[in-house]
Amino acid sequence: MGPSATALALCLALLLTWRTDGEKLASPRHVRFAAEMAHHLLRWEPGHSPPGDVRYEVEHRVYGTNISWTAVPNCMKISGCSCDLTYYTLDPSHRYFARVRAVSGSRTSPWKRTNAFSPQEATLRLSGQSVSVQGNSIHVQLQLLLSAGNLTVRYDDIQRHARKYRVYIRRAQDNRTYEVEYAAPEFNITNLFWNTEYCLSVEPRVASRPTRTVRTAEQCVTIGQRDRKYRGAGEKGGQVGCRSSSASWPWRNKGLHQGSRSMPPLLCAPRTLPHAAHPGMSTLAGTSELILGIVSSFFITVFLLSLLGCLLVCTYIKKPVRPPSVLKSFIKQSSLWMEQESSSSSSRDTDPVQQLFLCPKEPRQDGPPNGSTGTAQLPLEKSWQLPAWPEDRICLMETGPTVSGDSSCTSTDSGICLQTSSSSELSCSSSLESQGYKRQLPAGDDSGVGLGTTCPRPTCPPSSGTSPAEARQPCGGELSISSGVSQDSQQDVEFRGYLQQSKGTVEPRQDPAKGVPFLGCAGSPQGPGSTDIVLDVECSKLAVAKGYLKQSSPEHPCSHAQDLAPWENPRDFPAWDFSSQLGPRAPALLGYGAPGAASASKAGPEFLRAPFDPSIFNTDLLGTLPFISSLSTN
Amino acid sequence: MKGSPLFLCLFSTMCWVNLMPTAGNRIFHFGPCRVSMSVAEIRSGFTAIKANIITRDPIRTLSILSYPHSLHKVKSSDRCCIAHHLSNFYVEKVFRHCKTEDSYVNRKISSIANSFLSVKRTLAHCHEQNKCMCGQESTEKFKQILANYEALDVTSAAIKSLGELDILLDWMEKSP
Repeated sequence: MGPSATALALCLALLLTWRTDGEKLASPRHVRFAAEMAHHLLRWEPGHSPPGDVRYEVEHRVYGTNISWTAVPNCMKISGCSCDLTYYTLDPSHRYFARVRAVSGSRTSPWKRTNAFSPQEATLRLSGQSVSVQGNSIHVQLQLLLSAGNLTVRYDDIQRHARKYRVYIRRAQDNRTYEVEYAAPEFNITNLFWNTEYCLSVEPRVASRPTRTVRTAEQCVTIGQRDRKYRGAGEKGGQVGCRSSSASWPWRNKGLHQGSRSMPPLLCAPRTLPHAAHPGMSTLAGTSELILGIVSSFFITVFLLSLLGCLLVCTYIKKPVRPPSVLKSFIKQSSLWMEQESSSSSSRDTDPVQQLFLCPKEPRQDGPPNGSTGTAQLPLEKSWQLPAWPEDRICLMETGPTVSGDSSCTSTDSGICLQTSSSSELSCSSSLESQGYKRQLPAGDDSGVGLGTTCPRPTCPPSSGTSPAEARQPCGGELSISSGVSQDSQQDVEFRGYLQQSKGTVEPRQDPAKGVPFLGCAGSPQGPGSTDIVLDVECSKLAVAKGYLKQSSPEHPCSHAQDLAPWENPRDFPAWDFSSQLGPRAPALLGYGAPGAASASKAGPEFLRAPFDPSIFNTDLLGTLPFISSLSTN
Repeated sequence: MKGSPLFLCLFSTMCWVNLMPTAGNRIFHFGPCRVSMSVAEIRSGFTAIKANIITRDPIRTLSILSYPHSLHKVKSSDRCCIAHHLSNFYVEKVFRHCKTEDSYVNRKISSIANSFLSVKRTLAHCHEQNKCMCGQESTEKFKQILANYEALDVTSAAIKSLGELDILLDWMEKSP
């Protein structure tokens, strides 16, 4: 029994020892540096099921040197799980490693190494702050000296660049916290509320490093009652405080809100905090400043906006375009026509002639035509003179004398003679017209302006070169036609536009002169009754009217129409209208649907002119130019 | 809306002001050469992979950038030259050979490399403009760095150099 028991015990002991020997000692786990500034702590956790008597050993080394691992005297065979390596790892320019192993009896575990460590990686901390109250501002001085045992480490030595200090200010009464960031270790927090208790806590950070940081212990101070002598200081200080806090604005937006507004309103409390009812006197000062700021900014904004508005207005308001000198005369005439027309708009019938022609009256234009202007009947005519058409001037009805009869229109004025009543006149006008046309136009057949010649007159379209008288005659006669003929002419020309005008204007302004006032070839299709003398005239001019005619029946008997065939296109319309409206609206004669004969007449001259001075016509008129030329070819 | 352009302008201005990092983008002065660098960004990227990288580097006796060899006691006049050489060195010799099997680590390395590219370009530009004059001392120091680097095989040296990036950043941050 004895030997068996002994053997058994031995076996057991062996087994036990074997087990323990076979089992490697587990090395400590999670070995790391849990370092705060000037307190570099190495921490670890025990290994797997450590034995009861496990101890730990710590070694360290400097990276880059060929000095091997050095044991840390204070941490040899310790039972705890942390070791302070501050003393050995102070140089910020070095990189340090540490390693730990477990020791139990004679067994040791493998070394477990930490990662590289530099003092700059240590958690940032400050030893504290000293706070003093001055009026309604708090003066803060941060303690940068850190003690490590009997060592003193300066915060500045470890973290040399990009140091920032964030201050958390909490108001005791409602726990509202504000954050402000400063770059200096000494600063003033100003413009605080009177009679309030504030608690401060500072958090250092380095802008260029993602290091962890801890806040200092909170320190509370109370700002007493406002004293007279501090009022000014408080206000002034408020500005300073607000400025310094605003300097850290960008930092504030980094999401460091801790359930509080990170604005300087606390610092500029009187200004921004909405507690108007706060007993703090500085509230009033702040409020007034706020109001002043609001008002001034409002006025500045209004001023800037008005400036902008003026600029826009100046940019976008179009200056009235001055007509080129070339067109001046033309415009003048048109304006005159317009006047005439407007005046006679009511009685278009009465002033067809007027509307129609420009009298050679214009002294500048020429002498003879003035004769036409002499006709009192058409005072307008004078005005109508187209300055640029010394000869082409549209004869107003006045030109009667000059155009009296067929020959009368032989006057140099080729303008459309507006012969309202008397055929002579009319013829004049017409002849004039035609003359004008004839004269001007090489073909001289039809006066482009020719109003729709009355169908009945094949002769209407005066052959080129035909004596104007002839042309006139028929045309004049045509013109004189009052409703009927005019109607026809109208049809012929179909110048609706003309017709219209002639209708209205047909009525001779001079009552006697029944002649169609001749809308000049505007032949306003005013009414069948309207003297379509003009129309007749236009017969020849139908060609011209063709364009005009286009609007009307295409079967215009007048061959001219054919000429105009090519021109029969919508363009003619505008051209036609244009002509008709030349009078009333000088520059833009394209108005369709000439209101009155005047327009037609006006158009006439224009047509006449076209060949002569195309440039005179505005673009609108250009459409008529080819028209006219075609007419001439007729 | 008429006000929208103004609002957009104000908003973008505010955003710009807010986004302008007070410290993230630092301007380093290497002599007369000014280099803008987003140090915070590089550091945060590096911190995320530092442990991993350093673990891969078993050699502790040798350092490429550390004291006593290289970056200490550099005169301010030599800073630009050494910075220029080092940025070239890192871009050409280190980042290229630091491929690991961990994609996250690789991504971080790439972003750091991109930041360094701009630094390298700026310093090269300064060098062309003769703002980075290389004296003999700076040339010697860089030669030492290169010797340290070449003492190891390429991959180990690259990993080691990458692990020492924070040392380089610390040195760069030092004001002359």
